[in-house]
Amino acid sequence: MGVLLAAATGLERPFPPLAGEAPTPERAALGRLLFFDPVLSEDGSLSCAHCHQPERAFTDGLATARGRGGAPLARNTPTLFNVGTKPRLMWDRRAGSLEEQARIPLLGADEMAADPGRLVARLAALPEYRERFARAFPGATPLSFANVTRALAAFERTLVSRRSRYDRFAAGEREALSAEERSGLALFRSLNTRCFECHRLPTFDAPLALGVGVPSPDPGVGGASGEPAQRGLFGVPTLRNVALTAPYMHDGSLPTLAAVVDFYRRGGGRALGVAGDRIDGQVRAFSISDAEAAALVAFLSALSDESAGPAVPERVPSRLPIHRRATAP
Amino acid sequence: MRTMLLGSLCALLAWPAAAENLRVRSGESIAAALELAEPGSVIEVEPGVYHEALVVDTPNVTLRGIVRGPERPVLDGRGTLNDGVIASGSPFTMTGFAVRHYKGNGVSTQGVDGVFLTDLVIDDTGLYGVYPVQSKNISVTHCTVTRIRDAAIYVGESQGALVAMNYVHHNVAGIEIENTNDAEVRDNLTQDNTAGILVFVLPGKVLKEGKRSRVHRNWVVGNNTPNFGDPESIVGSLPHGIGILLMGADDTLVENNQVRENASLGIAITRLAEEHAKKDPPLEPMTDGARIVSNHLDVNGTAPHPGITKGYGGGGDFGWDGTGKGNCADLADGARTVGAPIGACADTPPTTSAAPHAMHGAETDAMPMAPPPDLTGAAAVVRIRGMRFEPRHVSVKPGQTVVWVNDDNVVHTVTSGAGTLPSHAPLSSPFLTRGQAFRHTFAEDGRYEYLCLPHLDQAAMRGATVTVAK
Repeated sequence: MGVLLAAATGLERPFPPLAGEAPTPERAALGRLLFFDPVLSEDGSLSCAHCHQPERAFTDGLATARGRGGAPLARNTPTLFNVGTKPRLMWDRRAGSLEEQARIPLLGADEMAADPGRLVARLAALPEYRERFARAFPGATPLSFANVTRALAAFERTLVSRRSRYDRFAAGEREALSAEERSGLALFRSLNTRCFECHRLPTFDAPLALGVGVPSPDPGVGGASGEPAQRGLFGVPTLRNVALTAPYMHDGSLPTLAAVVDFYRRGGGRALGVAGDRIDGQVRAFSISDAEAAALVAFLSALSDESAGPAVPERVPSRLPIHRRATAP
Repeated sequence: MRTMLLGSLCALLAWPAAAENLRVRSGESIAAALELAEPGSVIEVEPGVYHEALVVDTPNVTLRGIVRGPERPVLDGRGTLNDGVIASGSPFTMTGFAVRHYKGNGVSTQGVDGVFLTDLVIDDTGLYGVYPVQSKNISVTHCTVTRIRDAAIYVGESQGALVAMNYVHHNVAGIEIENTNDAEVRDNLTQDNTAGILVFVLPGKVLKEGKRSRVHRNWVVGNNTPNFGDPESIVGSLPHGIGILLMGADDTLVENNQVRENASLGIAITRLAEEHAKKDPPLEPMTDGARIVSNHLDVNGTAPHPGITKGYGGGGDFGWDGTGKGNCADLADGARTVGAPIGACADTPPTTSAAPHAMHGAETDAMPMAPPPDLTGAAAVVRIRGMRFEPRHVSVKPGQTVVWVNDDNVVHTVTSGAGTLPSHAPLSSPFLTRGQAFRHTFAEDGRYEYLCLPHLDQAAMRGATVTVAK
């Protein structure tokens, strides 16, 4: 019946379909255990959830992530909500699938530093994983490094966030947003601010590499592609749950949403001496009142999902502690 | 407001009923009426000044400005509000408003299927006048758009658009078709902008192509206004004096336009600059498959912008940078071409007879003559000649027909409006070229004042009347 009804408002838009292999319940359940299990790291110290913490919309509250032994990593940890719809992953968009992406932290020397052979052996030594891989990947060799990445990707594809107060408003519940938040939504869609042109409905991101001019030596997409013209470009991050994912930008250099709004208000990197050819034409200084800036932040806060995220497992098959490092508030 | 409340009550009692019409009077709030709108609602707005920014998320809403002679509702942002109208509901219809003095934009539709914007008079609304983006099945007609610091009418990342019968002047860009497929741009008058009509692609967009647009029967005249756009924006680097520009869009047909007195280039074909294209490798930056046929090009390129001189070796009626595949142009013998030599279009006869006709110069018999105008049943005939309506005032009886005939060598319109303010109703002729006629049968008594859109700055081309009385 639902499909026969017209959209309640023009804001109600279909989500893009999941990219890649459709998750099965067995693979997603296995992927959830792997995601939280430090057994994936060579020294048993790090799980995916170490940086991608569910209570922070799968980020870590740090400017840039910390890897093995606290090693500083280059970039801010992105949320994992709705990653299943993204055609390319990572700030520099170098991964073309979640499976490909999973290899990066798994194998990274400063991150989990896993050796594929030894990792598979560790998992094979644990009966619960043997059993779960066999059910999730029936066939000759259920337990393989590739299938570890497939299970993780299957779990990540279940991390869907489309139940915010904004979504209720889009579905026609006018009271779901306050007057201030509605005014912020109008500003978001204004040609004065132009937020909506890159943070597109309904995912609030875009499959694009763009430059906004955060001052940084990081070459971003240009570093991954080798194309000098792409230096300083980064993938457009989603704004869903953005109130939970401070600090912001690829380097975590902006501590609050108010600081982000202020950054764009002054023309992004143009005001900070970054060359104009690194900055998208739609990023330009705009004039809004402080009350309007506050309304914009209020609206962004209405993009937080109201439903509970995935359950954190009580225990993982390795019996290693589910690591929750204390991080900045 | 009483009308609205009563309307809501009726809707409750008679549910399910067709959505009601909501009436907004001067001094009331259009936004308040939009709160009550349901799919199918028509919001009728009386003449008056409304200091509001409107958001239309309900599907299938019509904003109908009531136009009474020179009076119409005015959305006035007073330089403090951001956008006149933002619409997301599909379809969306808006007619009969003036929109002015917004910081961001006049009317924008975002992700709308079915956009009908007509008879809007838009002035000084920031970046764009009319901006359908990520939309499809768009119609923008009979709008007058002025003093916009980017594009007066900008169709971005969209599918299927008709942009017709608009008068856009004194903007940076007149009409822009960007990363959009299947746009038809016809019968517009773009005059005194920095550039008249641009069909192009930009990097950093989800839709990475712009194909199959058709630009025809437009008047593209004297687009020589110095660029007053943001110098850091892409449009801010647009050289003045460009009539029609194709940049990276493919399979565009440019046909039968009157392109004259643009000081840099009448029609230009170029690629998207490499430094832009390299940012977005899937984007194909060349202009391919352009066909330039049967255009009337005259007195273009006489004082080219230095950037054009540098890129093309000088100004002219037509310039090509030599890039792209399958581009062709049929140019009259006298046309001044600059840049790379371009081949004639294979399957069309050369337009040797299409010698240009000067705006103020001697008439030439080379201009294709329209068939004799149809004057049958006319109770009065008004000739438009020598930049005046003759006679200036006519009287007819109800039910009778007046026919206007353009005898001038420049384009004119017959457009309702008082003083210099067009109202577009009931008289709203197309752009009339020499020999073309427009007729209207008047049903009701009244005094109908009209003007000529492109020449309303000239006293003899406004204030003409038709008096209808028994």
